[in-house]
Amino acid sequence: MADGFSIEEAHATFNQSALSVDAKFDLQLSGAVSEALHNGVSIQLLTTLDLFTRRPYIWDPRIARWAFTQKIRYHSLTNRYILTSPQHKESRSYASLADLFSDIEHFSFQSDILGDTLPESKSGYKLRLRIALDNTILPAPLRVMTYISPAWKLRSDIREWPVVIEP
Amino acid sequence: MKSTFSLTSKIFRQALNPAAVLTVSAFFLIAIFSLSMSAQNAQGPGTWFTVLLLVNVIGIAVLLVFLLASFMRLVRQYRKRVLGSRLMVRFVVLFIILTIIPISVVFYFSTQFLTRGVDSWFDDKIEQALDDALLLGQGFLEATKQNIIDNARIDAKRISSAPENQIIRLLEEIRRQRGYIELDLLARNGRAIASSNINAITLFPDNPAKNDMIKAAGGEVVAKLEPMASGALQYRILYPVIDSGFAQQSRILQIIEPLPLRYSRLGNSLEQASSEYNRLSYLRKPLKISFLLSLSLITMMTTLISIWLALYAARRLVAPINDLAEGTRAVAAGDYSTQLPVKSEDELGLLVGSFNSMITQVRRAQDDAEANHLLEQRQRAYLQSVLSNLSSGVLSFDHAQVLQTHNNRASAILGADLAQYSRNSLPELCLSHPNLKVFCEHLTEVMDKGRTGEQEISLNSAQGKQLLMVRTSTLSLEDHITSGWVVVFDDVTSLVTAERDAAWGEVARRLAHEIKNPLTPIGLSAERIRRKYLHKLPEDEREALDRSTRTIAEQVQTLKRMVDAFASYARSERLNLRSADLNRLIEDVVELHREPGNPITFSLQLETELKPMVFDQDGIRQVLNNIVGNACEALKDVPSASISICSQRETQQERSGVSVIIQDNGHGFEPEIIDRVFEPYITSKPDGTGLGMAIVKRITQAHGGFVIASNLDQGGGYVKIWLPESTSDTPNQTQLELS
Repeated sequence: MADGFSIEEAHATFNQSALSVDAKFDLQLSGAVSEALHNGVSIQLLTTLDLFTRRPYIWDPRIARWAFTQKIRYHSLTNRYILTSPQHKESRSYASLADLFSDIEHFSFQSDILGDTLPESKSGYKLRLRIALDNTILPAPLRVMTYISPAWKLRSDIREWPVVIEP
Repeated sequence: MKSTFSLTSKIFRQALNPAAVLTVSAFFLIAIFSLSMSAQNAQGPGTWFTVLLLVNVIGIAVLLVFLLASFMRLVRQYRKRVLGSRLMVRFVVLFIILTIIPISVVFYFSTQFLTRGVDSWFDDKIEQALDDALLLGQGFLEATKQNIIDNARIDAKRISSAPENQIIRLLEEIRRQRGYIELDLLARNGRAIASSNINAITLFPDNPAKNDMIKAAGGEVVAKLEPMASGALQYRILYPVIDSGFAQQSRILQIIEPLPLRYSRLGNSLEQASSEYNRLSYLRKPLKISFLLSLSLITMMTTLISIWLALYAARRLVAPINDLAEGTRAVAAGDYSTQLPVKSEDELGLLVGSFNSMITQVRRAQDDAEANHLLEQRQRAYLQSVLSNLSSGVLSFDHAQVLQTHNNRASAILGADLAQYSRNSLPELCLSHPNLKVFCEHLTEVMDKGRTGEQEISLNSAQGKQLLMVRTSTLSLEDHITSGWVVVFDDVTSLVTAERDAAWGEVARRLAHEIKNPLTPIGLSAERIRRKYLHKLPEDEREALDRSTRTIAEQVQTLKRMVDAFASYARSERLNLRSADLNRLIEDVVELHREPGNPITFSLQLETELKPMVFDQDGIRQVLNNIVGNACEALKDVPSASISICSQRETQQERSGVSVIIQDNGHGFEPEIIDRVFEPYITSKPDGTGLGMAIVKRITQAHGGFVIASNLDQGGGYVKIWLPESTSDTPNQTQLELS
């Protein structure tokens, strides 16, 4: 399996009251990122989910964005990988990266915060999902490398699909 | 295209505006400072580092564009030799050299110090010690873990043999005995069968990870040390409990045991130190690259700002010099109104001020010079006016005998356009006008010998002999050194001629009067003697008396003719001017001389387009008769004698007129009398009175014309009469008298 991030499956359901998204990621770190991780550099995965209103001729305005970060660091004393999710306010450790990624490769999201405030759209709505390595938290010297080296450009393609509001 | 170029030039001029230079330099210096500060905080997130890096790169690009454009502009000015560009290039090159050399040296040593400084952070011994400490910690934790596993084996046996209703109590007992914080008995699907927690209010066990549960369900002992969110470490042991019953259903014993707080802190400290050191070691290369990149950007930015400031300083320095050069050029072109702005109070400002006052003084001096020149021009014009109205010719020469001044009358008298010979020397004038040779030689002699005085000079002009009365005097400076000569001369030809004619007329009149009176009694007395004594004398004496009286009578007749001629020459007559055909008059005169037996051949070439002109018909007839008569007499012994007469229109001194040329193929005029042929009593004929040609000249001049006589190269005489076409513009008019 090649290095990099990808979205294998994605599905969303949307009714008047709630949005539900399920997706499956395929996450593989590149050698450079893995080396940096094992040398004490923390990395962060950023999953973004955008909701747009579709319009026929002009650009589609974004009406909502959800961003999820997952921070990964290597604990050298215990040889374990620690996953911290600010959203879940918890920290879990894994014996291997494979275990860690198998735990987070399933993305599930539910939201009912839109409710009746969702603007009406005759053409419907669309969702965009993407997962990427967040380079903004990297130490300054590595930031330069991320612009130079493709090994640090880990990001999935944008998965976009229309959302049909179920009655 | 032109407007784009001018806009670009305007932008670049603005780029060298002091405020723009200071503002942009300050902004980029702040960016450089921020970049250096951000680079020093290498371990923190690089959000601002990237932005500052980008700002600096953009700044460098902007500066490069401006500098490149400025240099291209400077090169264009240098090639076009724009004033001040060469000096500015020198200044800029000097400033750049003075800037780049120290910056390069500092950059080189900074990179060396930086590279070695970063390397000095890391030490193999420290790294080894950290690794060993980490291994030691891991060994300790492994031993502790193994101890818990051994205890778990024992506890699992106890639990497997314990009855179901004793499980909870047994778990509580074991937890208290071992000092665990939690002890759970889980089914293979993860369901909690029994649980004991140090915190009595905790209802649900801390479930293990799914994978760990699967492994444990498979009979594998799972033991791991988990870092907690709080930083503490805890062991989680999943140990299979094999039931002794028939079904041998497995259960899983989960032990959660925190590492003692002291060990946990030590472990965390060790882990953090090791992790930090590893991270730094790992970031060593990127850190060097980052530092070098920052340093390079800072150096480049500093260099470019320095060059920019050098350009600005050079332009400021050259500006007053450029102003001075332009001012000097304007002064050289004759513009003395230039005043340069004094922009500073330093030496350059002083220089510009001195230049301005110098130009002011020069302008005043020039104004004075112009006023003097104007005054001199007025005086010269006044003098020229006076000279022009003089009836005398005036010439002035400098000490090198170069013609300086002349008036129109001089040109008229000499028959040469002296304006062409202004600033020329006398020999050049002589070369162009050979007829002025005598005049030029006289002036040259006078000037060479420094003699002054008055002398009469005779010139041969187209109108005949010309008499000039020349007076020469020196021009002297204040120190009495001769600086030139003034020559004043008059054409006295007419005056001398008139005086001479008047004298000769008086002689003729007196002669006629004195001679004519006794001639009649002499003739009558001789006739009476002849009648009274001719028949009384003897035969032999009669012949002598007859011959004597006859001779007396003939001589008296001759004397009478001579006296008549004298009387005619001396007689004062009015011109009877009338319109007549000159060609017809010529034909009449020729016809008069075409006598039968006369061998002379006459040939006429008359102007066919000649209109009737106003002249005294009798006077001109006498003129033509005298000339043609003389020619006939001169051709008496000449074989194939011929006289040709032609008339033609001819302009003399801007006056239109008609010339009549009579030439023969005879012996011509005697060389000794040819210069005086028109003077009275000059003749080569034995019985001539010498008044014919004098009368010709008087009548011709009375008409406002002239007559010249010469010999032809091939032999024969040549006489040319020129008469004005109209006598209305002559001063003589009809009142002119033959005096």
